[in-house]
Amino acid sequence: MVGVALVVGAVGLAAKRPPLLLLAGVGVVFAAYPDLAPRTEPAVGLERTVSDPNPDPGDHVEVSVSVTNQGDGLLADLRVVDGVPPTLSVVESLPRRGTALRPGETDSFTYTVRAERGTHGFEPATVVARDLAGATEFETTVGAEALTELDCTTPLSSAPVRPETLQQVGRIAADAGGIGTEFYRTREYHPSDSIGRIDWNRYAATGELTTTEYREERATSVLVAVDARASAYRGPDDHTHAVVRCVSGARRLVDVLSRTRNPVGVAGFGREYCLLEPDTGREHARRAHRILATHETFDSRPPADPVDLEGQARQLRASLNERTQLVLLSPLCDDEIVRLARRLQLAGHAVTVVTPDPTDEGSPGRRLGQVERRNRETELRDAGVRVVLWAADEALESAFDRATRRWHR
Amino acid sequence: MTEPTRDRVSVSHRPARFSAAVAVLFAAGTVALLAPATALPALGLELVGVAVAAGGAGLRRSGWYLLGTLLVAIGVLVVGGAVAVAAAELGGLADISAVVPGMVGAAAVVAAVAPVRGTGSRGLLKVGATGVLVTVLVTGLIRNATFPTLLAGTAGTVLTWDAGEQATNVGEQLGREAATVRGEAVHIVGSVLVAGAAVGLGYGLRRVSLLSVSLGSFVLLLVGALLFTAALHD
Repeated sequence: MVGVALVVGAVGLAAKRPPLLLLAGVGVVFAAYPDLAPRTEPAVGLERTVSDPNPDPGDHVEVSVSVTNQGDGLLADLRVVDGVPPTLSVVESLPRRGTALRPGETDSFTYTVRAERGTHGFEPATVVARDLAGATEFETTVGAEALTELDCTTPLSSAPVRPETLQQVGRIAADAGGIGTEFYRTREYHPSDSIGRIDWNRYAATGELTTTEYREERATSVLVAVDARASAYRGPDDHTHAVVRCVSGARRLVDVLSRTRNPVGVAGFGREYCLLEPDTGREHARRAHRILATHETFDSRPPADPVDLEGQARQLRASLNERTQLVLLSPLCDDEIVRLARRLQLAGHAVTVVTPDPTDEGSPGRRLGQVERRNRETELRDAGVRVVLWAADEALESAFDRATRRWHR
Repeated sequence: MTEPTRDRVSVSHRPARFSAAVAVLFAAGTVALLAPATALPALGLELVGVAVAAGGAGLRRSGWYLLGTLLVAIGVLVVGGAVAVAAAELGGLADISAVVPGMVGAAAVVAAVAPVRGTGSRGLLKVGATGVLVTVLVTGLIRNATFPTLLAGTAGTVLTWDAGEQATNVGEQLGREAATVRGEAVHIVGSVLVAGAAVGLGYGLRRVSLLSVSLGSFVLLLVGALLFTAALHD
């Protein structure tokens, strides 16, 4: 604008025309405008609601966002881009808005996303506020007052933990006779057996001393581990990548296991090693959920730096006791994770691998990926690791059903 | 991970529609305001050419690539023809040099804020606004335009650039498809009010200067005002 003023002024001066010189005044006024325009630090409140917080996969969910000017100055040019979960795609209208807000005024906009299997957290919205002249620009991020989440999963009724220790979820039992409340078997009396456990009915009928054994109760702790290394951030076209599915699967497992009063813990390999030691209780389950939803290891964007799985595995082994079972959720995209699962199984921990399928039909490269995955799966089964295959469009529950049928055959 | 593409909404970071339309209106209005009556048919022809080219650009993007490209080419030819018609109609070199830069400038503004390809161009916008400004200055030097007309023309030039810049940066940050009219409108209303104030101020000063203030005093006044503005910036 100063340039316009100078050019016009110079032409006017050269031509010795006072009126032309005066035109430069327009340039001067516009050059001064940005400094005279009111400038206020934006104070913006954001509220976000979703039409259905628990949609089915493929459902269209309407998200409405309202922004409020909480400051006491005019926000002349406010630009909002909502923090749509990176794993979801917007299918109708846009999560963006350009508006102007008087103090206290609210403007809202809606857009539609397509739900994908998994749990998806919304991120803070990016807000850019420019003054009236457009000369200064404040950029901040504003989170909604309540954490918004789209939970597109079905709750589990059982978990694929080893039946030799956990007969059925809902009961804490081991396949070993001993002291307990549930009948297990009878056996020949031994002088060291307690008098209270002699089966007197049988003695009356046959004259033989037998001892009743009850199912020994033994709490098994389960560590639910998620593979969130860069290699795991893969998925078929049009679907969420494996880490999002692993994390949402882990959350369902934590739910179902904590209901059985088995100590359950959470671990993650990735950006950094993350561990919540197995424990029981509702508060503990809530903490596990919070870690899975917010810890940076489980972020829906892949880590940039390479991950030291060896070191993280060492930390994991240090925190396992001999009765801890491991449920590992991983798309099995490399051999390193297979080696880790085998080693833990050989060390005596019961390991179950739940593996969402990140591969796709199509190019030869992808078919090669499928073959490699099948080889890894066989390798795991040979080592005694149980494998649950979780197809791209499948609910976790039905994957467990299929796996359980296979184990019981 | 590959991005899903099926029925997914996409954002094109082309200049925002509302501000772009306002910028083109200001450019065309300024040129029409300053042009002599004989040049008006040529300006009308240019408008037709621009509309055809814009329609062609829209068709190109919605899949009618060949037809769209053809229409863009026809539109550009019509704009060129309009400039030639204006030159032939006006005859005198003075009139030509007063009208043609503005016509070319207005076409450049359209190309900058409603690009056939890409996301708009700030450089082209500056070229266009400069063309319009040259028309204002040459008209003031050579032809007998009234002072208020020249003031309005200068303000129109500045507003053209301002609205074009707003269109470009809203497009960059939010994209053409987002609902942004409210924020754009408030910015433009603010600029128009400031332009009105500038015109009023210029007119008032002109009145004062008619009471015999020398050219030298004017220069001093202008330099003083510029220094004051520079001081405000710090």
